[in-house]
Amino acid sequence: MVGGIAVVGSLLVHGISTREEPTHAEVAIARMLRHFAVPAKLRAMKNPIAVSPAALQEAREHFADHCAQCHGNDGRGQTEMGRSLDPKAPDMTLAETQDLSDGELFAIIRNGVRLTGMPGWAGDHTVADDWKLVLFIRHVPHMTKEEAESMKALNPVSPMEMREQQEERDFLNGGGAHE
Amino acid sequence: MRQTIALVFAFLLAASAYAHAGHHHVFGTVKQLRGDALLVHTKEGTDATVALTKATLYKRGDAAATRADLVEGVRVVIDMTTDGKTAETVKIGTK
Repeated sequence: MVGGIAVVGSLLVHGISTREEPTHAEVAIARMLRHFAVPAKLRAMKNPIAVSPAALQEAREHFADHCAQCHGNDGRGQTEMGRSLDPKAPDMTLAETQDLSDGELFAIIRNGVRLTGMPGWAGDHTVADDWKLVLFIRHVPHMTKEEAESMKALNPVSPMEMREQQEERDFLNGGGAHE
Repeated sequence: MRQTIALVFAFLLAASAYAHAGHHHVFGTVKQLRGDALLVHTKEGTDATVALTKATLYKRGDAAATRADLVEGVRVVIDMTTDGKTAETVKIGTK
């Protein structure tokens, strides 16, 4: 009762903002709920897809197209979108992600995580797509900066970004006003 | 349901475009490179000093370049890191 009043009081005073770091209690509760949301049988599953250059390339392309907007090509979550979420997009190179089982990662990709920015992709991805993404997440801690940079060519580009890229090319080739 | 998903994607794309608009780029010409400090004469006509780091990438078109390519008079477009403090990528053009 007292705790509930404290929480409501805090919300009234501070409002609800995603710009503040979540409290330890929020993080602990969210992780516990996420853990219990994955059925035990699925949690124990190993990735049925073996690591291969072809599978990793497919996953890299998929990740750059669908996931990098929040997670970043290098999986560290350092994007405008990723940093603005609550909870923030995780640094997937760290133990908090890498210690999750293959099945847990698969379940998170398939089903999403409630009350976070992580959507469930089961309706759009095949099962094989998502197991390949699990392979990619395992690969993330070993990625080079050059590999992450090369993925930029695979990221979706908005019309405004296309204009910016053209402006850059024109400038670098000697065009455009320069005082 | 499909309409909801489409709306969410539209929102995410719009938010992304807005966020990208806030990403800082420097267009200019190299005046001097001293240590990790790159002095650039910007296309707006001002001088700006940009900090390079070991993590800074150098590119000429799609090919890799090096810090040694930053000679006086060469045009550059610099993508700053998201905190705006250091250069993430330096794209090198013509002189």
